[in-house]
Amino acid sequence: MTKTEPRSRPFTPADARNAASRDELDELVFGGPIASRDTMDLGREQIAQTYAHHLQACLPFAQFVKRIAGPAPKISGDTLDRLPLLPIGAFKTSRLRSIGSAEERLSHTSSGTTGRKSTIVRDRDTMMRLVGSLERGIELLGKNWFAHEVRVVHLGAPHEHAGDLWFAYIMSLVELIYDCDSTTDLSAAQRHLEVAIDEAAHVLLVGPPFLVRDLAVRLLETGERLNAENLWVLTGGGWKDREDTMLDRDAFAELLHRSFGVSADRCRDAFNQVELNTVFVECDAHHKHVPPWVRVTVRDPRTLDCRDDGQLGLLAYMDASATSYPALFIGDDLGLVDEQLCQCGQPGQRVSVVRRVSTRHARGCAAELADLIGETL
Amino acid sequence: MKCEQILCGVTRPTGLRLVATPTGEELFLAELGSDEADDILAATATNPLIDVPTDAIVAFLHNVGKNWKSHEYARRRLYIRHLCRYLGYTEREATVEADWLALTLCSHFRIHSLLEAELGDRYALDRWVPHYESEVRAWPRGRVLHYLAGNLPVVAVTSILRGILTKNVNIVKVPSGDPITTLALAASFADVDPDHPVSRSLSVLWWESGRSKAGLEIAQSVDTIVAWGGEDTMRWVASAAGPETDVTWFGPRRSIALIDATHSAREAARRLAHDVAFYQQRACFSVHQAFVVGDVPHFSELVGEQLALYAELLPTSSPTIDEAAAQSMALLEARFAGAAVREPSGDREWAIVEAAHADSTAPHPLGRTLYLSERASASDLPDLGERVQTVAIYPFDQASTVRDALGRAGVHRVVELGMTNLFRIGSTHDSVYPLTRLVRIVSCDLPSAMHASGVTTPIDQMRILEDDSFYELIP
Repeated sequence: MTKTEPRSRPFTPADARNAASRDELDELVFGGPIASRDTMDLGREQIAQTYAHHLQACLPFAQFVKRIAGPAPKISGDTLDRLPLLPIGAFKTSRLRSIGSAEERLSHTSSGTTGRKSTIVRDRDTMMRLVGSLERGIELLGKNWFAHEVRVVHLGAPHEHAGDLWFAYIMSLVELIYDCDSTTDLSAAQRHLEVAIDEAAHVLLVGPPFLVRDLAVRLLETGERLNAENLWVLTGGGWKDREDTMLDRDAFAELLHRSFGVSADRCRDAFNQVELNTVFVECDAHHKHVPPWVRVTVRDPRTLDCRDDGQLGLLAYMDASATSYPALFIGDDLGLVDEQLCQCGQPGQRVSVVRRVSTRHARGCAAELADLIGETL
Repeated sequence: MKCEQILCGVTRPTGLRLVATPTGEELFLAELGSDEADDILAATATNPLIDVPTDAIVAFLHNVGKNWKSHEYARRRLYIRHLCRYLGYTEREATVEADWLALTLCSHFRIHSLLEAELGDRYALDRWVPHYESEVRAWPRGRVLHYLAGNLPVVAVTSILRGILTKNVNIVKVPSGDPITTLALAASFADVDPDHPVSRSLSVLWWESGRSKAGLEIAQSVDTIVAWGGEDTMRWVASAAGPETDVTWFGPRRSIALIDATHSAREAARRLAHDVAFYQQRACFSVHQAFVVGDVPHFSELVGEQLALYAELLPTSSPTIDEAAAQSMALLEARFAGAAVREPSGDREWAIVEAAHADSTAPHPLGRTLYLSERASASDLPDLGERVQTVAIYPFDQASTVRDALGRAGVHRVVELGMTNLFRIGSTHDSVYPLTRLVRIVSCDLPSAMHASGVTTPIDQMRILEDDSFYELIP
């Protein structure tokens, strides 16, 4: 990985420590086992290091932390749950960054379902770690896949046309990892899929669930059902304004089985949001695993203090992979977290996003979303 | 609890669907069946109210209201219990709602004044009324679909009352957020007389917003839609309404206060606390933000005291997980922005954010959360943001200096601080007189023998052509 250059000040011992720390962080994201007890401990230390980095490099974040926790909060892997986290709204009112503008490579916006949009600034390192997290997530589908054996059909805009809209962009990242055909045209997608199934060892159909559903229905209506043993389906992004066609998990899996010939264990969902720099992908047992460089906590909606595992609350994230902006925030989703050995054999945290916090504004901009989806996915 | 469908005043069995309630209690709503639209449109094709004198309608409503005023009325007691059990009201809040319902229905003199203020004459729906060179009479538009919002019981009562006073056939699509008020009102009509035309003019339905084909058919077939609610509602109604359907919107609004706290700051704080706390800020007239001339931290302290007092007078129930989360996040965001946040040490019954600039596009968390911003002088008009309905002013003599600017800025209503929830006779609702939207005004023009204004001879247009004297008539 290319390391970020120090900004307009002399290189200091702290920078050297940061650089060394980022080597370890990249090692965590790009290599080694996805999660073990050791990597989880290492991950907590990385999160603490990243927290300290943003305190030093992002003035609005530092001022906020000082207001909440005083001038010198104790930052370590053991104190993570007591450290102040940003409200997600901070990204909607401020362009938070821990890099100089020259290092800024990409900025992304959320779809703005509450009428306000988050703007997130990413540099090359942060962006690459996001891609790395997606790659690691896809390892949950097939641990022994080689990249050259995988062909992806992406129901969405090509990467170069995804623009700064996160919802479209995140799905298009698969193009950077695998041989990929991106299209929103269902007949073209069907053709790509048929060719890929014939030619590739492993085929991945990626897209928002409503477009995957549309393709599945098309196959059934045209009588051109597939029966592909090498096909996997990875959805993400939710149903958006197509809730009228939303299917529950079992009905969706049944539809995909009838149309694509895939079993339920090969239909997976992924979670991400623009403020988060890591993609959480479901395992064999349909649990979304949190990689070791991210810590997810559930917050009491009244006090914002951490709740015990298994209790419903606001999901909060500390993502060490984002060094260009402080991905240290309490989000607006309600969910659950637990930490136990999964049926799939993987340790570490598992997260379940239950729903968005319901406010009278929460469903305010469906039309705008529909326009964006129409354009990009 | 089962909430049945009511068709023309009569309860009828239909499929029930479990809906979520803030308290988690099970509430089953009668769901409009996919093949029921024709039945409902046929049943509501005739108007039982059209020939009923207004006074008879007002008298019937008065009788219904008298029942509601009685603490022994079983329907009232049940209504209060249901608001608490299913919608999470405190008993005090629910009692206040029942009292408001009684007051609204019993106020026959105010109803007469309302008709006169909005339609020009209290008998405008009963007879031809002289009006300049015409006689006019108001006629109901026909079938009105009330697409209600669930934020406040008063929404249902107000909308239905307007529909009844204008002698329309009223089809009410209740919100899952509060089906209770409309059903209780309809049942209380039947308690007085199930065969009365007012009772028979009311149908109460529910369908899942945006998903019902039958609901769409009904929306396309009515003469008028009165739509209350947020942007989703507005969007659905706009797409569903037929090309000739008249739609009246009561969309999402918020309200603010302009206060000069250099005058009687304690009294201003007391009035502001009421406008913030009443209805938990769920009403369009609820004050979310106040712009203050004077010492903002000191004024904030005074308002905090008054909000604490209000919490004793009209306690609220515990917030839902969503409400608590929204408020916590809004306050954390305020702290991120550097604002001072004032809140009680125990339960968060209220909160005050002293913010230099509050983001008016940010979702307001409600829950008696007030944003206080400083304003340079009484004549200084801050950036109000969008969708401001009511501006409350203190002291009220300062209204004359700012109301022109407020009107130009798109504000709908100016009132004295502490009075936002009281709509005076003559007051507009989102800049319209709603009763005028529910009637057709038919005119019967005066005959030719009666001189037109500014003309001193009878009107004989053939003679005017023969004499080529039209030019002479130009004043």
